[in-house]
Amino acid sequence: MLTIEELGKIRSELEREPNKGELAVFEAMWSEHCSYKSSKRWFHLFKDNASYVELGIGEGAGLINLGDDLLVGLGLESHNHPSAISPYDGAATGVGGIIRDILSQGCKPIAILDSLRFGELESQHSQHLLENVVRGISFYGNCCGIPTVGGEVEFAKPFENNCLVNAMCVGIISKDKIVRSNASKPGSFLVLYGARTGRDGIHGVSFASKDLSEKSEEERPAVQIGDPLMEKILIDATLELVDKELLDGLQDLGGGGLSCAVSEMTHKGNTGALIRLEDVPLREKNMEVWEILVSESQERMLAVVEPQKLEQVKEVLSKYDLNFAVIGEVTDNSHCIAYYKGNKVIDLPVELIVDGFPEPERKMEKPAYTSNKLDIEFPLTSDLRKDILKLFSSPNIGNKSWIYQQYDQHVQTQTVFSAGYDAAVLRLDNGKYIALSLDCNSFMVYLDPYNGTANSASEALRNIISVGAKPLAFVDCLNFGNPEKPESYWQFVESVKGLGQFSHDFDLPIVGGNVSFYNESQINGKNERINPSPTIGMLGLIDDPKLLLNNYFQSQENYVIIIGETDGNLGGSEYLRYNHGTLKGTIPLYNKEREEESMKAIQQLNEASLLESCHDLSNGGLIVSLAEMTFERNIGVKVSLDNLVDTKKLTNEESLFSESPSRYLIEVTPNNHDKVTQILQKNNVFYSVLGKTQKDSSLEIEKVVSFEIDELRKTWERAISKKMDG
Amino acid sequence: MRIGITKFPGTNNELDVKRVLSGLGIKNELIYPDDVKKMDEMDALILAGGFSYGDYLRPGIIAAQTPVIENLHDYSNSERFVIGICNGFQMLCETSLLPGILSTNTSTKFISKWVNIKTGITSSPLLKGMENRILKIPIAHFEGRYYDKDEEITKLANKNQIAFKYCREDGEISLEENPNGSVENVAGIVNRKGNVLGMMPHPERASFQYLGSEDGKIIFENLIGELKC
Repeated sequence: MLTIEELGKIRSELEREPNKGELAVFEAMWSEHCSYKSSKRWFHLFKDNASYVELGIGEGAGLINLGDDLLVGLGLESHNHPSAISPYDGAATGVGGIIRDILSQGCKPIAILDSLRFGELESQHSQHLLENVVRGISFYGNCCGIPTVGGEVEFAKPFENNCLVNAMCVGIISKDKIVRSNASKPGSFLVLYGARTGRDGIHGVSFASKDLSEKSEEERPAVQIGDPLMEKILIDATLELVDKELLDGLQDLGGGGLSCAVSEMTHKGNTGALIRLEDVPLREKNMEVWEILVSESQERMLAVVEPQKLEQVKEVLSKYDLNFAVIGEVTDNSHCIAYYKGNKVIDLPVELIVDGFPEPERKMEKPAYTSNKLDIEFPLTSDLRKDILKLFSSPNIGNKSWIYQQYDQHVQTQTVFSAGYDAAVLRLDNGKYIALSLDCNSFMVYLDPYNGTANSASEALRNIISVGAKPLAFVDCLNFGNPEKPESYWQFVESVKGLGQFSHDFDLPIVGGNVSFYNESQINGKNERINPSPTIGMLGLIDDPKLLLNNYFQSQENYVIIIGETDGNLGGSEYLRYNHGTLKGTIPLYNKEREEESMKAIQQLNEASLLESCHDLSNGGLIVSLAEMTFERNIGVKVSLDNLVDTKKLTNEESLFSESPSRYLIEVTPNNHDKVTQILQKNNVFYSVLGKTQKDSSLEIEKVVSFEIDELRKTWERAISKKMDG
Repeated sequence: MRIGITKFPGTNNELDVKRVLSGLGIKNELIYPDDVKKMDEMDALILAGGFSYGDYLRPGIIAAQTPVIENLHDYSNSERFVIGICNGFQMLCETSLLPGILSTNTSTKFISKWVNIKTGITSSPLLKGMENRILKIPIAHFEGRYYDKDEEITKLANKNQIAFKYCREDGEISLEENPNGSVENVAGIVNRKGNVLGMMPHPERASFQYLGSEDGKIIFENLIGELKC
């Protein structure tokens, strides 16, 4: 809904009353979702460029040059509200939307990752959402022939009524074929192709720009319906148009539909447009003007085509049996004008539609909960063994194969590491490998948005490092509550500051992303807000396949060394939260120097071919990372906690479960042991030789606890499947 | 020598098969649903996987009504080789070039993972030298549960038409390793003449070392070897 202030601005700029169609355009384009009116003012904090960035924030895909003019396109977007109401269609169309986003720059989609958040898995509602969201992603992504190679999932109460579905798509294109989402040449034709326009997804962006409530169910028509066969054909046809260099501009029709695509493309091209709405191919009869303008029907693209290329474009689209129509032309009068059966129904300045919204005032207030102290007494448990098994049964810790086995991970025959590794790795046709990770720890961000966000980004970084890749760039999807509420807005601003700091600290440009506010709900009079969840999707490059690193133990009798110091802070840890129901206090702080030291150490050791395997430490802490390394090959390990820190003595709980950042586990052969420790000492990196891998298939923490690997693995493997399949 | 790879709307493995054939130095062409003439010029045909026509109605059934698949009976009667992979296997069953049906996995979920399959003893040149060999190979399907009546399965076994069975790493055919509920763990079969092979696992996804296995490449090499004879 437009505010009084916004309506006033429209009237005074136009010097007349806007009509119904025009109001619909403003309502879509000035919605939080399309306009970024509460968030854009902070984006200057991000590092947004680098020599290898061909295209940064602002269009469908950020484009990264891998070195020989092969570009990787990245996009990450949310589809939260639709998935909360209609999980199957909401998630499917979320995937469809991000695919078309990167297609808009001409990229061939080569991988999908997704980041999902639901309520606790004990809840039937959450089970229903997980089941159907995964089915939706699987149905759509698989059918389009794009492998889903990774992602993450979190389960926690604050997501019970506001689940999060973020989808990331990765594509490739050669530099000379890039297409931009702009309309720069007056006289060019606007060609709408793909699915017909119907009434689905009307007001989708407005729906996404307010809190959910009991009545949200009634907004089901705002959820789009997906047709992946159409999407696949659309992809094939678009790639042919791109390859033949027939397009002068391209944008998908997503949030805000036709009104958004036309106004954004003309805005970027400093032009205007004249369109004829009766030429838009419709799925339903008697659609009104405003419905045609803002419908978010899926699988549609708007192309800008120079007159001399129109016939060839028509030929390609006809070959694929796709619907298309020339719906108008690019003009030079900087207005968006639409006619319907000879009557002028829209006449608006492009600048006003895209950038004319009055920036709303937003207040910030630090929430009281952030001052709560963590007061715990050790020992936290009388039975550490049982406590560890409980942690391994947490769906946040356990194996995620119930989810990712429903996704085709191998189509396109490029998948080297799939879900289950620290980062996904794909081999491109030029012989280079790229690594991809998608991460967020919403518990850390909740307790401390600044440090928690920087730590989440650091985790994404460690995942890239752990497979042997060099981080290049990232995209973000910022999922927050209602920005009109000061506490929620404070979380957002702190988080953005943390992310900006990280991007500058590590010289990693942010090349795209999306902001999703209003992830709050009023259910039975009670306000529920999500844990703030800035998800970070990172791209890394492996120039030389020799650098590719495995994440699990390779053989017996090798040394196991931890890099980075364990600070022992349990704040925000999954152990305290899941096992002991405590989520408060301070969290381990983001520390640029330590993170960088550890990163460089791993890179240097790997380049010297001194590592057998490497795995980062994150959720669950040391005990979880150690166990994960044993699972794949059933190679046991025996370690001691005596030298984890050199300053103070930690309790067993602190040693095993702290999630302090900047840490990795590495596996080193006896032959390389001395070389490795020398390099670490020389670089002044904190490390501790924990112990050795062993023949015996057990995980032993000397003097503390011991498990058969099988026992841990079984609990870990069934953490999700047990709740879903019984 | 040229090998055709079918491409229907929604097929999405055609370029993966192409990558393997081109890597082996073999000329290949995409065959679209109406390309009967071009199809007849091909020395062999591979029905690539994916979701032809969105798998709407039932996997493979719409593709089975197209000129290319309708021509497949004549094509295969001329002793030429046809390999149907995943959705291609479903088409071969839909058009009755191979017996049985492929129904929804018992889990009622799409399954994508690495499995092991054991090669049967058949007279098919496509599986020459592979008898009892265990292949590490990915599957990715929603409807891969092979089914036929008991007596038909017995017949298939007696006529040496069972090409592959899902198995453990050590080759043991166990129920636990059956990913989709296929009768007798059947993962692939051949016709009586041995020139038509249908399989749910994806050999093209196990044809490069960097993907984790080259076990699938043997099938393509056998095909090429036969065509060169």
